[in-house]
Amino acid sequence: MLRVVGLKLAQLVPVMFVVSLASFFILELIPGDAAAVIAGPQATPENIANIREQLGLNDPIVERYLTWLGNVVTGDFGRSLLPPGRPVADLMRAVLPVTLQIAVMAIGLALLISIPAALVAANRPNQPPDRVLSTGAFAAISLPPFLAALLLIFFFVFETDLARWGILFTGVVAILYYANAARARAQRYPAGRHRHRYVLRTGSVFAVTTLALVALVVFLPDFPRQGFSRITGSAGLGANLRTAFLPALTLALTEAAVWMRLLRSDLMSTLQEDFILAARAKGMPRWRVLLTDALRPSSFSLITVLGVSLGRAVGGTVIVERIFNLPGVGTLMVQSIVGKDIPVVQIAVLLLASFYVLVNAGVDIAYGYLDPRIRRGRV
Amino acid sequence: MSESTNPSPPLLRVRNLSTGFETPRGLLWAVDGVSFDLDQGRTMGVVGESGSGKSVLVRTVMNLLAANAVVPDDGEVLFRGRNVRDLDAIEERHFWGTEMAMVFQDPMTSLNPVKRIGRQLTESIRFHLGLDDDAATERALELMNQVGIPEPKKRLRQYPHELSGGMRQRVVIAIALSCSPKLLIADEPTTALDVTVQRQILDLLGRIQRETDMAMILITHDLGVVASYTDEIAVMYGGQIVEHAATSDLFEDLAHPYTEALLASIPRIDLPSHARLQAIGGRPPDMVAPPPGCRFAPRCAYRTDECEAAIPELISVADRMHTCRCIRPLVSHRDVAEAVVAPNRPGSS
Repeated sequence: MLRVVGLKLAQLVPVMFVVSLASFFILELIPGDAAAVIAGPQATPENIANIREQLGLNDPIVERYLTWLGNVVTGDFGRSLLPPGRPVADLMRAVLPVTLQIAVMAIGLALLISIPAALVAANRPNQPPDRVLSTGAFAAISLPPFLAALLLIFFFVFETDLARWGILFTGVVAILYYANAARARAQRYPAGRHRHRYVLRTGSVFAVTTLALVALVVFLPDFPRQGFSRITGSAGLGANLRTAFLPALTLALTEAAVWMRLLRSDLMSTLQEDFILAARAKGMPRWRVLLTDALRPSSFSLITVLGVSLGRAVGGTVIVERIFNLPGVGTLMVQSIVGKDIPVVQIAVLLLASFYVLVNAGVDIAYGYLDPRIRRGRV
Repeated sequence: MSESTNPSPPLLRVRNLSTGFETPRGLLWAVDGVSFDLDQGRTMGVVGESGSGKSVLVRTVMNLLAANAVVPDDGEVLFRGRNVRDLDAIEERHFWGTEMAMVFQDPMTSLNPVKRIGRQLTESIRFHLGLDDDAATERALELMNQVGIPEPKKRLRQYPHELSGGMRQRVVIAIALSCSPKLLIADEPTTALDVTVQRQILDLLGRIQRETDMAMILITHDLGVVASYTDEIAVMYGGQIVEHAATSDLFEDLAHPYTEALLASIPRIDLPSHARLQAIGGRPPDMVAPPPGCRFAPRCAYRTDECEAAIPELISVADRMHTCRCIRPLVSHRDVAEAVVAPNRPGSS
């Protein structure tokens, strides 16, 4: 396994080289002159020529690329062209943690929503829980992110009472549905000790769920309308999570809906396999078969899409950053592109592309973990 | 386990069992009124061509059916005196694996490709017998020795794709045996295997059946396979048992035209090579709208108009244990042939 990971990482070296080429040269193709931007509207042609000379823009392009690459590799990311000319590394240090945190939280939330939902739906297809979840997923897929963000802000920031009642109502309906199913199931246990134990066990599960629901409704945190509080800031982790939650949930909604549908259909086809029937014939309980036999072989599409989603969440969440006024990578990129701040854009593109490549290498390695049959094959 | 001398009810008693499936064209009766008894320590072969209802029959017996299956209430599967459809949750949980276990047709697909052999083998041991990891592994190694898997310790850490087909089927058998079931159902256990391995697997099943004194149902479409490994044989056609007899009686005195046709379609070593095999003409019946009379009549060489009037009853021929669903059993045909021309067929004995 270690060998496979090493090989995979070694393969990334040429890919990263191509990424660096693209980050550098594609931006050279953008029309406009960085020197003219710096010099400002009142500049004379001599001024601009001077600045060009200072920036080294008159050197041959290959030489400039090699100098840039050398600097990047040794950790020197250069300076922003826009006043006050801060180091690019500082700018990146300011925006990357914000975007990464939101992206990782969004992916985590999406997994937390989609996996249980897909399991519930695939366990008994076309029953009420599946119908409700599938319809909900369909609605969430159709919702554009800016609208989802506005709706979340409306309910969780301005009309929190509506949100509370909504959560309470949904939760109570779900609990009643399952309580009714559990009551019917209790009849299948022999009266006496066994039925008593079953009632006690499921009863405690319902009690905990109900308590959690009530606690959620009562202690629903106040989510700020906008802005971002850093983990390192004075307000602490709680404030940080509260500012990050709604943006992350906005991103997670669409992803979770797509993933739930993917995983549901993959699970349903896995559940037709002989080895599932064989596991049931061994007497394994239904949920155990679902979790230990069906889930892992069904998660290939999910992992593939997860890699793409994570890359996308880190690279381009401009809309969400704008709506929630977050100092993230997307906002910085747009500002830099508009301002012709080429050193910043180059580094941002390079970092994002590298991240994307790394995540997808991770996905490839995860395939090997998920399916031993491809572990020893070609990497 | 239980006293075999006791004249108690048989281990498994199946009465008038039917299984239908909802299809867009209507209910498809895959199993149609099957009855049989099976005693402890006996092996019953179930033979029939594809689609004759063999697999659905045993899945109904195990209560392992898909959600769209319909089993009418007048059908009964009594296992050790209990109807398997009435089991409560606790009994049901420990019914599969410890009472009845199943060996599937294709070991390529019936083992989970992403779980180590060891885990697949020990999970039911841990779950049903409540053993801890070490004890379960101990039991797994014992089982692997029993089914003849070399280097069992190494195998436990391997994945199914690292084993050959024969080894995988041995693993499947070991899993089925892990909780000492009273009844083992082998659903075409050798169809997906090499001819050379087929024999080893059947020998293994036969040996284990004798050693543990469990009952076994061996499903196959190959009459040759069941001949030397079974005590009795049930021939199925169109969801019904058409002939049921002790193995030796069946081959000596076969009564149903379908059984005869089935036997004639097996390649024989004493015939010249490249001799044309006798196929059974026509197609199996459409089980959504089966023929009104004998299911086999449209393909039968001995068909008369009377055959298509009503479904024949399962009647005794030759001796009481030998039953056949035909109004003109072949046993009597032979008598007729010897008597040159007989205007009236003698009734069945």
